[in-house]
Amino acid sequence: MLLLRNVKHFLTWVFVYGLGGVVMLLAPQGCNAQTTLGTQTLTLDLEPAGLLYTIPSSVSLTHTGTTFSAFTGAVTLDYRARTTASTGGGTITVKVTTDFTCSSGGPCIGTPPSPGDALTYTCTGATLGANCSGTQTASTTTATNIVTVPAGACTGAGSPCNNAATNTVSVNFKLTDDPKYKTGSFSATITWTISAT
Amino acid sequence: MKKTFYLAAIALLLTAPIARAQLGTTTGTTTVNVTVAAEAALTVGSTTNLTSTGTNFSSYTGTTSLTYFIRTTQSGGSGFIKLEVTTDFAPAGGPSVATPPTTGDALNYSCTVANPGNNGTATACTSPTTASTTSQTSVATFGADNRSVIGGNSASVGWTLTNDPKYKTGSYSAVVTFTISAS
Repeated sequence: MLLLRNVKHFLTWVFVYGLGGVVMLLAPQGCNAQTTLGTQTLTLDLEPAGLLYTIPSSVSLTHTGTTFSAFTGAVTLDYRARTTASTGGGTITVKVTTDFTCSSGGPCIGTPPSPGDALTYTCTGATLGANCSGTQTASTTTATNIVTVPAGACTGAGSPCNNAATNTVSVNFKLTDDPKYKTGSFSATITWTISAT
Repeated sequence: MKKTFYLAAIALLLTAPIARAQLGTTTGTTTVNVTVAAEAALTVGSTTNLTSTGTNFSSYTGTTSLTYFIRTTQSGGSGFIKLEVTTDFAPAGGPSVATPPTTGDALNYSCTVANPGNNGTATACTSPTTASTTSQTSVATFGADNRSVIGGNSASVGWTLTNDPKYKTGSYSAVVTFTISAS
């Protein structure tokens, strides 16, 4: 009696779950058979954008070459940009937002200790856009150019911009080594800005 | 408990794309560091001709001009300019710094040194000083936190070489090496 009840229970279980399984297996077939009810257009509005990545937290300017030759150091920036076709454009700029402590007698961007003292830089290897022109002088009052991105440009190798690999540009700094500077360690902060339209 | 877990999972799923978008930034900063150390450099005219003017057998004289650049450590620093005759007069038969033909023959010099310009005082050599082929002799010394101007400061060495009748006639040359140092 007990055995019969168990068999009945088993058969009931097989029937219920089996039927469910069959329904699940057949369901996709039914879906395939559905009639197309309409179409939907997906639109993507890509805005111009620019972003900086991997900004070095610090750079040390050091001597190379002869005595009183300039202090030098380099920074590589990673960036991505997308600019509006025809009318857009983008820039990366740099500005000295915190000067060296001028009162300490070392280098000073805002008020150079001697005429000709300067923090200058050149830009090389921009993989999107154009490097800054020639030697630029960093300023505490105005942002100066690093890269100019033309209209209708976007990050990504190949065409049209089919991956998200970042672009890079190297900035090579040079700081006058004026004998007037007192000995010691000095720091300044520069701020990079990217914009795109 | 389960509810909290599900909510957290949903929150993570929703914020993941946002977090990724925040990896880039429109502005960023870099600190520029520079360590300014004691340094010194020197430029020297390549040739100085010693000539005798005036009375017979008056000494040969001439001047070597220098431009020096120096920065000494703010506290405890110092510096100097020295010279040494690294190649004695040649050919033989004329003057000699190492082996004077006659006792008293010498290559002496005096020093004129402008102050560094941006800070400090230069101390010129005692005049006259006798040049040597075996040791450096002083031209100038500097104290702590001495700093020249960016174009350098001037100094000069006035030479006096005995005109010993014993010298054979001819042209003779020696090499003097100037050294500047700062700490």
